[in-house]
Amino acid sequence: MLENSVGARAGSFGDYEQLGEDVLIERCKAGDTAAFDEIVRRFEKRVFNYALRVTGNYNDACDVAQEAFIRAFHSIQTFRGDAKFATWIYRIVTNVYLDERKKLKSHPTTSLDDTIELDENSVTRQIEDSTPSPDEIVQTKERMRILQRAINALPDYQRIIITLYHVEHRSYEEIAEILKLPIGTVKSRLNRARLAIAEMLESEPELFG
Amino acid sequence: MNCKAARNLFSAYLDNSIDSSRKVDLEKHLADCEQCDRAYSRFRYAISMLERLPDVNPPAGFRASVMARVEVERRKVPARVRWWSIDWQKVFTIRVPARALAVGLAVLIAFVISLQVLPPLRTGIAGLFLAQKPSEAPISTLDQESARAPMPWTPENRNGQGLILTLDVVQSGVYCLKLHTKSLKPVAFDIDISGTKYSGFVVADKPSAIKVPAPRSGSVRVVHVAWSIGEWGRYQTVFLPSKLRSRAVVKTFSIEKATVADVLRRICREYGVAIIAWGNLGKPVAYAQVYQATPDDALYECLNRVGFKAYGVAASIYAVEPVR
Repeated sequence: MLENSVGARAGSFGDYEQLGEDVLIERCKAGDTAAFDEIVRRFEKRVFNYALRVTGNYNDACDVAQEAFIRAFHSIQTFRGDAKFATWIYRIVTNVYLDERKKLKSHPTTSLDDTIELDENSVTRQIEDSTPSPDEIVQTKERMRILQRAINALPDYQRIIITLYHVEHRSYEEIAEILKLPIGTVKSRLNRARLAIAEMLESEPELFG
Repeated sequence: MNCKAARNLFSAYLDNSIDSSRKVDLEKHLADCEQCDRAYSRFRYAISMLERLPDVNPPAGFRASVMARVEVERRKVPARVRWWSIDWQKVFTIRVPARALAVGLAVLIAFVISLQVLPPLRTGIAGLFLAQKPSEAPISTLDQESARAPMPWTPENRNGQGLILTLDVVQSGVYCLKLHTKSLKPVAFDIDISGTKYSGFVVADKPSAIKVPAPRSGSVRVVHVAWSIGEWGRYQTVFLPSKLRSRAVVKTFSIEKATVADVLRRICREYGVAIIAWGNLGKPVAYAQVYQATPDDALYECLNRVGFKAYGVAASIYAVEPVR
């Protein structure tokens, strides 16, 4: 017999912000979704930014980042703790992105002009002078837009490596672990990606003189 | 050293991970070859630009939408176990201590008895109590002009097999959210009203209802409803204004750098309409201009370009969902 039983589940689950990563992961494995919520809180910005730079598009980044967290939730039991959680989650985001690319390859939807719109604050933070003129803000914004367009034009693996190294500040060893590639391959692909970016920016002398 | 070999060493040189003999060769090459020297300057500049790429915040409500999906996923029934794939030898050799078995049985019996004895739908939260069966609840006494009978609504109807939501106004300042289904299998739900969570089941002929107090004047109450049946589930959000407005009004306003959720909240407040929505409400809405528009037009203006559609299900009540 099934009655409409409703029990209030609200209430404190303890102070998760104070817990270490390994404790949170153990709790996630035991089915504690509040622990997973805390994991999402800690990693959402990193995961979203990584997704944003590799997809080059705000909407796609939302979808990829969300899907990555759902995959992480499903496979948390397989996380053995040999690697750092960050390394593991970057690998999941990468796989989600590559899977989506495979699906969309026949119907590409990202145009080169569909680049990231940066809010003004995030740009002004990057400017060393504390009082940038409106022209400087516009110019910096334009530079970042062109830089993102150059990143978008790179082949998938180069784009992923350049994002992991320069945006996410991962070491060669971590990138090799995330992508399951030899360190030598990571280094040579990073060099090729950097050379390609430099070459692309050369065609914008008024901004990158 | 030729130019190609020199350029292959740019990264190692910049990162200072080059061995000393090759470093000497490269520096000699850069001193002799103006082209490579310029290329290296460009290379170094490009790297410095990459390091200055700003961090961007995820959209508001991103984490909430992830957790809503997690909640739906969590409720999915695990894959069916085939009897021939079970390791029967293991099953029969599991050792359960007698005391644990006795305690387990006692808990099970107590649970079954409690289902028989306890009144259904208790929450114990003052002000937020579960109503009697929907048929006993008075409907729309607040505003006679909006008293067109509310229509039940569920995303992707599937003959009403999912959770069907109906919204009524019970009395001034109190909404009644009715939950029912045509499914013979139980539909599990979780409801979050301003941080207080409720969970339960509905099944055909056994509906539930929750009374939700209207928010204070000028604000919006957001109710999150997650539900699942088997593999299928949805996360719905209900936006409730302080008072449903009976007469259509026209408004002019603009929205910038918002999400679908922000847009719905704004339209709910501006027009005094209730909105039941599902889909990725964290999706960004870069810009929308609403000019002397009715709620129908405002919803179209703001949502059409981001892949959502809206339609009225009753006077002052709208359903919003992704375009399929």
